[in-house]
Amino acid sequence: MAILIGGPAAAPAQSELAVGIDLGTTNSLVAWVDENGQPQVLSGPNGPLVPSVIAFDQQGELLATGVPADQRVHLDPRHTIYSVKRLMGRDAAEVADELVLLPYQVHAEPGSKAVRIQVGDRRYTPPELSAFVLKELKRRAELALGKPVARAVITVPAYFGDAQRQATKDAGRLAGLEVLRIVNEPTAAALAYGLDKRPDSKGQGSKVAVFDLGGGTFDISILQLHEGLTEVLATGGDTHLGGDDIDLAMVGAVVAALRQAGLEPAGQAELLQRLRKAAIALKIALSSQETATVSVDLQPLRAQPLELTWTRADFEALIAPIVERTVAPCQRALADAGLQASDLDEVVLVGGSTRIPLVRQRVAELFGRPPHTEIDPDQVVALGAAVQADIMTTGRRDQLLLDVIPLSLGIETMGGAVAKIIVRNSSIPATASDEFTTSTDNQTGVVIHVVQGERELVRDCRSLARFVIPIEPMPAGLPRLDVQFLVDANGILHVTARDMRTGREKTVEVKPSYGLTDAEVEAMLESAFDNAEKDIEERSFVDQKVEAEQVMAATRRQLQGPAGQRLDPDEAADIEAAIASVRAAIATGQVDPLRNALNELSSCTLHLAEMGFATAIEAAAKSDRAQHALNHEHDVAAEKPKHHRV
Amino acid sequence: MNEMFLSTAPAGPLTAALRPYVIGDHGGAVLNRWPAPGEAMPNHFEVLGLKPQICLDEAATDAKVKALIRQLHPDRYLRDGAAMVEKAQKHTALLNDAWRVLRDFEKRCHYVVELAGERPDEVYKPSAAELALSFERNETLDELAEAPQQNRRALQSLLGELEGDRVDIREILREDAELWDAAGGDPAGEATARRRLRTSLGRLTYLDKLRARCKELLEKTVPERA
Repeated sequence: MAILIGGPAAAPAQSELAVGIDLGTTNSLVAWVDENGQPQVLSGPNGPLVPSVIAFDQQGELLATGVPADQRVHLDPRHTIYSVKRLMGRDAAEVADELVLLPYQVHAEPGSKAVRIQVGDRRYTPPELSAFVLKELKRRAELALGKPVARAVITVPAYFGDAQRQATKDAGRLAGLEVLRIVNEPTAAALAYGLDKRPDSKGQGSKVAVFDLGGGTFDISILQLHEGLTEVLATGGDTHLGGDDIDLAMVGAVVAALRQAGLEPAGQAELLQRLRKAAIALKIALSSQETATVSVDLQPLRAQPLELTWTRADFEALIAPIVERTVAPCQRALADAGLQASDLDEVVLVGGSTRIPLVRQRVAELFGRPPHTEIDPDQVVALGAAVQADIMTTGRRDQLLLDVIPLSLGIETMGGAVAKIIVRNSSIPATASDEFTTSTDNQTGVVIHVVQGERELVRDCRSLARFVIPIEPMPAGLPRLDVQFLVDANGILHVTARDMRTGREKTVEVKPSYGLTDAEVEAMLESAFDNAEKDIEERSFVDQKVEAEQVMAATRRQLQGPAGQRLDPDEAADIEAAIASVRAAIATGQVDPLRNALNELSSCTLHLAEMGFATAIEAAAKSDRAQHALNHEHDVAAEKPKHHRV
Repeated sequence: MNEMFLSTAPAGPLTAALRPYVIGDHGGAVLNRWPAPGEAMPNHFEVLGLKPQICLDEAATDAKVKALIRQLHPDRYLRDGAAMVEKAQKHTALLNDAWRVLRDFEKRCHYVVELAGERPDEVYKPSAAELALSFERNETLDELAEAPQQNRRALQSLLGELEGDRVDIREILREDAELWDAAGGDPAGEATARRRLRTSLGRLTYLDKLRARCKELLEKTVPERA
């Protein structure tokens, strides 16, 4: 658990359902624990996976999330956003390397460290984009369960730094979810397997390695589990290693082959996306087959499609260096935990990429035992998150997840050095305190800079928060401030400063150095609300306009018909004037003037309508078409636009 | 010893710590009384109901601390309201903090010394021979640092030497710790043991700085091809 910064957490509500969410780089899932205590993934019409893809229109307004968005990835790559998780809580410098690989535009906002993704006319932060995915999961859960879902446990890679966890929490808030806890994905996997409840061999609990090779991240965690207690001994990994890298390597190989054939796919965004889809199809097929073939449309480079046939040996030769990159983090994590591979009791596989036979083989070699594969590696994390949500809300499980700080927490001292106050892998909740004084006479405040990281110098660590504790002016060295840092069970940092001379206590509001401030999140929530209001208004204007046009057309028909010929010229002039004001109201684009003008038109056409009806009856008496005329009236009414629920 | 945490000084570790954490009516454990503002917080040994001794059964104590944390963890009190959660949080943090400091042998040595505060008569003064050796090793490291890859073997052998020294000093520290435990609260005996602890810990600090530098240089190198 990282240090998140914020105020006191609200006590969770009693009645509402809580779900577990695996917010993945490529796919996301939502799960819950059913009435019988069984964790279940909530599936939609297209299966359990919700692609973490968000599609927008040319203006940057949301079109679709999940499966329908994923289908647009190769149709409209500039407006279809995926792999947002790679950008969560990271600044422009940190993401520079991958921007070349993403077809959408990412900007650094002046004065803000967070990046923005440009889609059409709009700019979204990564948490806002992830919130669309979370909203989709929330909707799916509510649809499946028939009840509102307002609380969730969301998982993140164990290797995620603080800013990335904070961004994930912000995304939850933006999606209207109370985030009960951010849980490490591998820890969730162990919970799903119920490894914490297994009888242990040595009376010390079992030691479990969780090997998680997902779409965009690789994590290795060494856990110690016993008697309903889960402790993270060590975590490691690579936030830039996963199935996406395999896809890229495959696309790279195909692109190289195309170039050899004199075809240049660079700049062909849609073609590159088709190649990516083809690579994924090949990759999946080669997990169960020795040979696989796919066909790719090569337009506009050439009419003839490309037939790609790969053997598993080709595939494994290509991806071996990528798989090999998992080895060093595993060894480092074992060393951090003070263990040999032979000390491990269990090895668990997580993430779609662990279906690849080469990965399974390498893991078995590395840890000297066959890994667990009983639970679908795509679902296991979401199922574990659901278990944690159940633990935290129902009280029916005698289980407890003990979490640790993944990176040391320190404060800046003189000369830019770091004094560690809580070392990494400390169990939380945890506290630490330090005494501060002033170095200049009449200083009115003491600046405290909290950083996260293992290095000795502030510049090598990540800035977490910087805040000022105001003090009474007095000679240097005289003030004595006792500053208490509390990291609560949610990993949220609270700071209390006590003036040792007066005994006065002061709770300091800590502002995060990265990511979104509380105010920014509030503003986003508010703007989403404003937009929702605006959206409803726009929608009803469109509906009114459609209705107005139908009414005007019908009026025009009647004016030109037999009833119109008999109408008083003054009355006809009134109707023409009313039609003109309806046209003017349409031009304003506002729903209220249009509604008024339309009402006005309806009242002046009342007489005309009556005459028209009488004329129709008369005509029917002659031609026996009364029933038809009535039916026709009925049809017009039925054509009125239905109001869409927004 | 702080009374509110240890009403009677027990022989066994942790049994006393269970005392203040009484079982509440909701089925969980709560601390019966938190120190009032201005009242001293119990030290880490007291929190865990341990005698201030350096040598202890780490595995057994770990299991007992965890059993207690399982009772007190805030996640168990989520349905009991914010006040209970906060209370549970404070207690769990207290236990976590105490065990973080005491779970490791060397950390316990440091903590025993730290509890006594600064004592001018106990300050570690390295001997002339120690200073000379430390100076010489630093000079060697400066030279090796100019070309770490070429000097990889020399760095590895220096690191081996330092690790060997560390094992030796750890052995002495073990004896110092036993001496402290044997003093059993006798002020003169404790002062003697503490002086020795400070010396051994001081020597380790010097050594660890050199080791850290050596390791850092080695990390910049890659193994030679066989």
